[in-house]
Amino acid sequence: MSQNAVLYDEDFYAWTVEQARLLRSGKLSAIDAANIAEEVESMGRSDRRELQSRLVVLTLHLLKWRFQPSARSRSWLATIEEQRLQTEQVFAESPSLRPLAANMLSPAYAIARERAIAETGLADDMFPATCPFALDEVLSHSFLPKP
Amino acid sequence: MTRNAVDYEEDFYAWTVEQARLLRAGEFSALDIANIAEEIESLGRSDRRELASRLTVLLVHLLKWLKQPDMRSKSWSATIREQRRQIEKLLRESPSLRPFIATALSESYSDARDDAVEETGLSAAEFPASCPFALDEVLARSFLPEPAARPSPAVP
Repeated sequence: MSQNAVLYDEDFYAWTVEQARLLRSGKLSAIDAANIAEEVESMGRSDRRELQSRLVVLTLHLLKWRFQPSARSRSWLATIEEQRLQTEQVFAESPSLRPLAANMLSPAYAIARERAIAETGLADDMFPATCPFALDEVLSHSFLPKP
Repeated sequence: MTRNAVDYEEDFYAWTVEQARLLRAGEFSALDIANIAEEIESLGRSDRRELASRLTVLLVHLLKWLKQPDMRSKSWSATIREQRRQIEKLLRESPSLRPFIATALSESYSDARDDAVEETGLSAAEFPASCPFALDEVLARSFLPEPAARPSPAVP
């Protein structure tokens, strides 16, 4: 066990090979359970972060679409569509992330709003303080905000 | 597997939460051993892939540095520096990848040569068929290749 922990800190690649071997040969008493738990959990965290970051990009582009109509472009549309497709992919792999998305929307919007101010050069009071889009709208393929 | 265990295929996020809990609680008999092994192994695989891919980017830029001296830029040297730094970090975290990098060099070079031909528009014949740099040179922070301006004693 302690040998495993040393290996984890000193040689990550060798650790992955060793742990996979121990798991497959059923030597469960010898596995580095604490670090495996940490690694498995961090895979879930990274999916959660991906979702959060896609919501930021989506709401940013919806904001720009709504408040800077003169600059609308195919590239914005493509970004919106791509983020929706990738978000669906995340939900397809992990349906349990769907309920978490509702709680992520408002922090994602706060970041998107700051970026929208920086990117458009528009006054910050142009943009609503709280997210003007419902989660369903943000994720729906047919939704684009009207000015 | 307990009968209400979260299925890896059905819900990956819920699976990670559940497996981490079982590991920490020492409930090994309920673990999804095969999929944990697969995931842990794929972390190692992805480090190996990152190493090969950084090596390729590094070699492309060394080749361009060598063959297009008038196009040299801060951006090229920044890319070279960054790839070396990240490769050092990978090797520091996983010293056992070091033997792998020696064998990866020739494979990465062949990709790098194709990319360099594509990116420079120079003919493939301009670039040596096998890697002209030693692994030590490729990884050394101080090394940047210079075209042989005058005959060098090292070259027959």
